[in-house]
This record gives sequence, structure tokens and C-alpha cells, in this order.
Amino acid sequence: MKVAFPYMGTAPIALNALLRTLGAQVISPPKPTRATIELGTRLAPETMCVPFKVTLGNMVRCLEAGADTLVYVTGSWSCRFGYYGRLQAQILHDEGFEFRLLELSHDRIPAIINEVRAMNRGRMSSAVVNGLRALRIGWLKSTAVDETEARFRRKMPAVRDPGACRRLLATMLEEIQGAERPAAIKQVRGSARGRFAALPTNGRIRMPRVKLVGESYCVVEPFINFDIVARLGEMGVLVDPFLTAHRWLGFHGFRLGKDEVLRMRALSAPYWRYCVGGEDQNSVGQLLLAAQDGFDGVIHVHPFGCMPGTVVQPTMTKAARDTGIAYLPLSLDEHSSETGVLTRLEAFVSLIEKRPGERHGK
Amino acid sequence: MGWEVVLSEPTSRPVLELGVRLSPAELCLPVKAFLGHVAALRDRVDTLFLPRIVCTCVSGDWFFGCPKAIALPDLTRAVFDSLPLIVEPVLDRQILTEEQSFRNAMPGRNNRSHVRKALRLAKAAATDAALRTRTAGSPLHMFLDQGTKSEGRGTGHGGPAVRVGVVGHSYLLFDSGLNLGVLDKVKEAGAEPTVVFPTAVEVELEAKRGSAPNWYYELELLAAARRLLESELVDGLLLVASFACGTGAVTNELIQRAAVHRHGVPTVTLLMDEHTGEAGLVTRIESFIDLLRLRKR
Repeated sequence: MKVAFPYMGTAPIALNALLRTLGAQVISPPKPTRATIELGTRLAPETMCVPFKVTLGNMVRCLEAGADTLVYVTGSWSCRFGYYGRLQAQILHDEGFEFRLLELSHDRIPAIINEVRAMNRGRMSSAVVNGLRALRIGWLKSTAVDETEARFRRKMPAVRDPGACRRLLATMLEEIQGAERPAAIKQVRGSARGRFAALPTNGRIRMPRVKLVGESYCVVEPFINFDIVARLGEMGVLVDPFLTAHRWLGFHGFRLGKDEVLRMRALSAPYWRYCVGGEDQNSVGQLLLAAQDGFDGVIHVHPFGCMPGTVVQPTMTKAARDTGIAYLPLSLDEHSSETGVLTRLEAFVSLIEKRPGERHGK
Repeated sequence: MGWEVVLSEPTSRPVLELGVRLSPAELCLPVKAFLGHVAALRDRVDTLFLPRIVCTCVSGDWFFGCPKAIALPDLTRAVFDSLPLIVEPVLDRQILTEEQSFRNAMPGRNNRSHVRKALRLAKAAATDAALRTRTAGSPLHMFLDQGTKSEGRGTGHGGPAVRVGVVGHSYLLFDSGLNLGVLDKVKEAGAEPTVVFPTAVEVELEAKRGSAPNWYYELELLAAARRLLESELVDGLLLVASFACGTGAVTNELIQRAAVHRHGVPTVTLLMDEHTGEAGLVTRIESFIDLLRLRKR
């Protein structure tokens, strides 16, 4: 079985290892490029949201590379994301590709267990053993990636040579990807602190802090958000995304963090009383939390035409006005230009830097 | 429930423009119109009835409203600074029965037997309205004269008569303040517009196929398109949707693929927004109908 799944940020590093340990062969797509997105845009419905277009383009690349099974997280809820799998499968079948669609959802758990069993030559005992090993490896890699990215985000605004910082991140991610044994993964993770600390600093101590909220794909995938975390880092801003690939896997894949969900619900209740998808409730809650924690600004990214993302915007604006925090909404799609986004980011950064008041420079 | 009901006026250009000014640019036309209607009503009433219609059960599976429809009360509160009291029953049968949600939403008027009776009456009225909609061919049956049931002008332009199936959300298809009278334009171009209203059974069958997305409005569109293609045998399919309609992007794609790949029926999608011009609309409808006529010859 040659498996492919939609691509998002650095999540494939952990997911590839997990699936490989389970006994599947993984086809991982090349990093998205302009050509990928154009391919997806050509096949997808015109007014569909941009994550659909990018993942569709990626799936074509995977099928061309020989994948025979496509895995999607699906489900029935209000946002279009739950329907990606079935619609993409139909489009790809009409394009003449042959493959099997494997949907991951809560009501299909027995079928998923059967799949894992089949990959282990029908033996339940080895399926369980491999399953546990796979979860361990996946978890270790995911935490290692998260630790590395967190160090990168913190170092970026204060580093003398941002290029070196980016290169170190890329090297470390490759090392994690290549590490097979748990000890090796742990060793890379352990080295992150020292290696980032060793980069020469530019002497900046005080830096504005910005919270990045919004739709998961736009927050996590640097290709779509024009590498917003690193770009803002280069401008001397410390970015704290509310979601990372690691948190996405834990939060949505295994439903961890119940406390945080309840906390966000309580915080956002005066503004937003019903979660409709697209991280709407989290965005409102995180904006209010960022204001409480003394952040200097909030950037809200969502795909153009995203149903929850657009309908939550007036609420975000109102919450930002009520709390006095600087707020920048960014709507992204396949037509967004890097220069346009950068200009807006630069304007936003100079706004929060010049803003009088006690908030800045804590 | 003892309330006097005040309705807003039919959608007009000023109402729509009011909504457009209040709303973020990216929202769809019907939501902008909705905000315009709220703006027009809010000074004339002391209570706004804004149900949050979350989901409904169709043949054993949950079907949801679109996120924008579910979030309308929150959106309204964010957009307006001052509002009358909002009565907001949350219609989510996964959590609450209908009776509970209405009783929770109306403190002071939540006498159980009262609410039950009101719900029973409302449901009877809804069933009756659905039946009349089907016979009159329009949800606006209460405003129509008996004699003016839609009859195509037929072949005024010469050549064979063509039948165009029209599929779209009824809030768009039957609000001429939003769609610039698209059904009349089809008639004026010399074709017969066919709009069908699927029965509850057809909608359930559509849900049972398992291939439909889990939105209840969209089930109706898919069922309508299926009937138009399979039993009404229309010559072409006109899909009317609003720009930035998220669910429509999915449904129209499914309908188009079914029409073109499996039935060989041409389709055209008309995307509506506040900038849609009448001349452009007419040109596109006329050229589509000319094409259908050529195919028929």
C-alpha cells in the first residue's frame, strides 16, 4: 500500500514516520510550489478555498509518484474541510487517476483498525505492537519538530544573520526526518537549545510580540502565509502562532487539550457563542487572551472566502477595538502577492512599534 | 406567543447598499442583504427574532447550516453598536429539543404548553407553505395572484423551444432585489425556466446516497438538480449562486460534474454580487440559450 495524505507545514515529518512504522509505504509530496498551486486551481472549483487547491495539487503530484491510497480526515460538520476528501476524490477520478480513498473519521474507527491489521499481514498482535511503536515514533518526531521551531521563532528576531538561522532550522528538520531510532530523535531535540543559542545575536533585547491566529492551514503552512513567522522575525518581531503542526496533530488528531477548549469558549462567549469551524472560536479567544497577556498585536490569517474565517471578522474587529490591541486581518489565496502581504506586514509592524502606551516593550 | 410581527420590506437597492456598507467585503450577497434588513428593522421593533439554525437530522445523519448562517446572531451583534433585544433559539438537535431551545431563548414567555402549541401551529404552517410552494412554483405564493403562475413565453424568438432548469438557493432565486430578476430574464430570452422543489422523500433519498455534503440546504439543491436532469429532461442547467458562497462552490461543482459527465447537459453558473450588472447578466443568459437552441437543431 502506497499512502499519500494532504500536506501541511511540518506535519508530514511525524506523520511519515508514524505511517511507515505502521507498515505502510508513504509517498510524500514535494514541497508546494507555484506550479502545484496552479495545477490545483485548474482542477478545483473556482470559488473554493485555497487549502483545497494546494492539497489537490499535492495529491496529483503524489498520484503521479505512484500513490495508490489517499488518506483524508473527513467528517460531517459545517466547514468545507470535512468534505475535502470526497470532492477531491471525485475530481481526481474524473481526471482518470486510479486510487483508493481512505477516510479517517470518528464513525470509521473499526475500518481503520482493519486497515492497520491488513498492513501487518492480518495479525492483530503485531498490529497492536506496531501501532504503539508508530505512535511513539510519531510523537517523538512531532515534539522534536515543535521544540526546534519554537527555538527558531524565539531566536529569529534577535539573530545577527537571519539566513544562518533559517539554514539551521532546515538542517535540523532534515536531521529529525532522517533519524530512525528514538535515541537519535531525542539527541537532535536535545541539541536544539545549544545550537540556536550559539548563533551570534544582534543585541536586540526588547521586541514587539505578535500573536498569529486564524484558520489552521494558513497559520501552519509557510507556503500559503508567505513564511509570515520568519518574515516578521526578520523585522524584529517575535511571533507566537496559536497553532503549530505538532499542536494540530495533538489537538485535532487526538483531541487533547480539553481544558484549553473550555477556556477559549469561556473567554470568547461574550462575542462568539457557537463554534462553526475554521478555528473561529479559538481566534476570538486567543485575541482576547493575547490582549490580557500584553501582546502588541494580533494577525488573523484565513483563506479568501473561508466561511468561518470571513464571518468571524467583524467580531474580531470589535474584540480588538474593545481591548485596544492592534489587529491585522489577512485574507490569502492563490492570487495573493508576496509584495502586497509584506507591505501590509511592514506597515503593521511600524504601527505597533510607534504605538504609545505601556503595552510595548515589556 | 403573543408578539406582534413586523416584517422588513422586500430587498431594495438602498437596503442592500446599507448592508454592503456594514459588512466586510468578503461576505456573500445574502448575508449583506440580511445585515441591510436588520439595519432597516432595528429602530422599528423592540425584539429581534434571530434563530441560530445549526443542524437537522435527515435519514439518520446530521446535516448542518453553513457557518455564516449559524453565526448570524454573533455577526449581527458585532456589526451593530445598539440593538433591540435578540431572541436567539439555538436549533441544535444534537444538544436540545426544539421545545427546550425555544423555551431557553424566551425567558418570561416560556410556559411549556404555550411553547408546545406555538411549535405545533408553526410546523403545520410550514408544511402547508411547503405544499403551496410546490403547487405555485414559488415560495412567494402568498404574494402571487392566482392567475400568474409562471408560464414561459415559449418560442417568441423562433426556433425550437428550450427548457432551462434553474438551480439556486431560494433566498437568492426568489429575491428579485438580489438576482436582478434572473427568472424573468430567462423568459425574455425566449426559454422556459424550470424550477423544482424537491419533496421530503427526494431530500431523504439524496441524503441516503452518502455522497452529499452535510449541509441541509445543499441537499435540496442536489435533489432538485437530480430531478431536473433525470426526469424533467431539461436542455440546459442554469446555476445561480452568490459570489463567495462557500457551500455553493462544492454543490455546484458536484451538479456540474453530474450534468456534464453523466447526462451531457450544458451548464452555466451565474455568480451574483452587489456589482453584478444587468447588461452582463442578460448577455450571458442570451448566449447560453442561443447555444442550447443550436444544439437542439
